[in-house]
Amino acid sequence: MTDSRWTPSPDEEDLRAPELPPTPKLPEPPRVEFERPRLPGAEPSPTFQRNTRAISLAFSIGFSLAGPVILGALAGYWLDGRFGTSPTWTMILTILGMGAGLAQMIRVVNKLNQLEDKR
Amino acid sequence: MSVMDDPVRLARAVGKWTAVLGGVVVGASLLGGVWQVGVGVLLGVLALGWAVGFFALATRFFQPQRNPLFPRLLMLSNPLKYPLLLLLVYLAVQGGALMALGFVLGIVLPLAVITGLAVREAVAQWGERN
Repeated sequence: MTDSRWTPSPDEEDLRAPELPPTPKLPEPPRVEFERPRLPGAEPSPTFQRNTRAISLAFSIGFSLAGPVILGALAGYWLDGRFGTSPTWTMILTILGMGAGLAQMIRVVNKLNQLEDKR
Repeated sequence: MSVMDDPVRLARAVGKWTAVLGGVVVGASLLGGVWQVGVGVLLGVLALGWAVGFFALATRFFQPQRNPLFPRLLMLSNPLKYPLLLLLVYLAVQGGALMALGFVLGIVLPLAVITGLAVREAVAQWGERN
């Protein structure tokens, strides 16, 4: 059985492509950052920023305090409707929601006090 | 300094006299066979105590002298205060007319004590002047 693989003959050795030199290390391309030109008056005013922050805080505190109570009451109402135990579960879960809301209130106030201390 | 000018002394006096008068009313209602009134009084005192206690708790935690958001936080914390009050009212109403009457008495009792203390103080000051 003959070997089918091609092997260069001594004459063909010269036709082989020469070894390529190693690629030189290119320098890092310069970093170009584009900044959008700001339109005059596009920057929100400090009053707007302050009011936005106050509104977001009011919403977040309101939801975090009222949320557990409402969720507890709704869950209790649903359970009472399912098991016919009205108003036991509504009362229990509402009180539990109030406890969770109180804990959340204390946490929020501590956070606000810490922010106030940092200023 | 009079009792009316010192919040701590006023709170102690109101607490003491409310407990004494509330005990008398509850005892009398039990002896009279109308226990619903006694339970209503207890619920009423509890409701007013919770409202006042919640304010004291909020003032303690919110620290109004440090926190400029105090009025807003106090308003936002109302959803935590009212459910328990509503539950107490619901329980009082479930007990019938006598328990509802007792509930009103229980609410009025601490307020009557404060009024009584104020009148006593005014009479004492009037006596000192004359």
